[in-house]
Amino acid sequence: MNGKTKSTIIVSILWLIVLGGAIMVFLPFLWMVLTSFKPPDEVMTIPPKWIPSKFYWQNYPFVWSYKFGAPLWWRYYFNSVIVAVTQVSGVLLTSSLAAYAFARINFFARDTIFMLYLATMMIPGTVTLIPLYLLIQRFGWLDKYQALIIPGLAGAYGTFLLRQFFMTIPQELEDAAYVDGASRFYTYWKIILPLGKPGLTALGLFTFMGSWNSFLWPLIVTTSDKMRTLPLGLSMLRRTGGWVRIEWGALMAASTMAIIPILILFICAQEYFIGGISLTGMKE
Amino acid sequence: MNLRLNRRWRDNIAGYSFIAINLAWVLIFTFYPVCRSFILSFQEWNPIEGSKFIGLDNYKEILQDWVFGIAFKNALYYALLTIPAGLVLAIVLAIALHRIKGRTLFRTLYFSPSICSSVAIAIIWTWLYNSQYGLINDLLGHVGIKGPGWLIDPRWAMPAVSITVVWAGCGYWMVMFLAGLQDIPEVYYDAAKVDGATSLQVFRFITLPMLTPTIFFYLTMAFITVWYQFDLVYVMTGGGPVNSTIMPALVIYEAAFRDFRMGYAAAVAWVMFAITFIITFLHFKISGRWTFYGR
Repeated sequence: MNGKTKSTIIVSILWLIVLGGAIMVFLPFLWMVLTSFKPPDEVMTIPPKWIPSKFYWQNYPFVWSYKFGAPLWWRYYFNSVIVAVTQVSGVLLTSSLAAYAFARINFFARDTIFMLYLATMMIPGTVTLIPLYLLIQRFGWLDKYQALIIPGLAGAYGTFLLRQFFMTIPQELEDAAYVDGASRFYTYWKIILPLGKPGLTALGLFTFMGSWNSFLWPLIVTTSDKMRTLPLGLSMLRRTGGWVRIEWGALMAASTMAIIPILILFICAQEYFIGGISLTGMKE
Repeated sequence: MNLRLNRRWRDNIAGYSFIAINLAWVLIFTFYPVCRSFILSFQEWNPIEGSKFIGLDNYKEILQDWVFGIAFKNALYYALLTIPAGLVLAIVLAIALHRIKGRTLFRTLYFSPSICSSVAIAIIWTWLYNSQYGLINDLLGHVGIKGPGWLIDPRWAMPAVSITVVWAGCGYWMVMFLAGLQDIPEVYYDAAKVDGATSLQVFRFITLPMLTPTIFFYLTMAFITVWYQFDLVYVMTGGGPVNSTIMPALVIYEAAFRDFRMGYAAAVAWVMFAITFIITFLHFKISGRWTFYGR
């Protein structure tokens, strides 16, 4: 066996692995979409039917019909968007301000405060969950937008991430601006923010994703249907609803609608997503 | 002297105004809850009368709580099923993808589950696992295997959840390992070729050592995320059947928000944190022996 045939064999095996993996990843999504377009009598058959006999789009409007149990479906969407957008804006603004100070200004007790940030990042969410709930309850925010939005408006993680990123920006540019009499805020706004765009984009995307997919926190702080976010509304369709037979066709339509926006966002911004991963701690 | 003092004060004022909002949030919504939760774990919480100190009673109760015992064992079993499988799959896919053309398309596809809501993933897989009408048992039937009841079978529910987690998280780690592979200098491979090394030797003595920092990072993160798994089990099984998938995070949730035993739930959370902290600490300690950072 000469070198050429050997390398052909190796490349074919690699392709087999890559394609096999791709099919495994893709199949559940495909099955979700196929099921969502099946008429009710074709969803549950033995053996399962791959291609629906007709293109049955009615599963989609059925999701927000009263019969199915999610009349407020679009409200869930609206809530998720509001929460995600405000949290992304809040995190980007407050974290970049704080990160700039941690990276560039030598203020009193800076390193101690930064250590405190690092320490709080190590504490898992389950530890803070209960006192946070009690705090929100005392503020009278339960089942309100305040509860969904405000605790996530700023945090240690984003500050840490951006600080690491800002540290890599050369100091000389700012020094030149200071010679010209620029203020701290001016250099932050005109130099650091534009140069820190990749870091800000990555943080924005991760914050958006975390907020959009967040489940446990909305689950405990909301009680009424109109305050639910998308993942919560989706889970309620699965767990309750009062119907004996689960309407898998409609449930798959609901899942498809929940996944599509974030999937589109990902495909449009995938370079930032994947580039952002390497920013999140892997490499210093 | 006067000028320098002036400068220091200016820095302090600027610094604190820049961090003010962020610091306030961290103090109110993270730092205070951490302290409060620690105190709460020594208290019995009551919505009307407030909290009263009961010493170590909550912690003593955890030792006798058989549900927590099951949850603890389940979490270990789950970690054992998920972490090695995810690691091997992610590395194999990364190596395969590294060597072929058309990487970007596949990378996008593999990564896509990592961005989806875990609730949506849980629902899709619940449908795939459906013992009668599900796709998985149908496919298994084609190769002559009679599929189990998956989520309704106590023996298979946990493996089923693990498969879903590996599916959901594998792409993210594949991207990590791919980045690790791209960082390996080409000269190493050229040198090995000159020395006549086999592919297996190249993998064992070049690729694997160069990937150890990523493997270390994977093990640390995977252990933590696996340990605190909530969304998937909550939606897929709710901890059942017969507690076969009950997890520590679920125990905390139920103690706090179903039974309203906030003090006890806080104690469970701290026990969980202590365990992960110790294991992560040990992991960091021994990591120096097997991770390779040099160039």
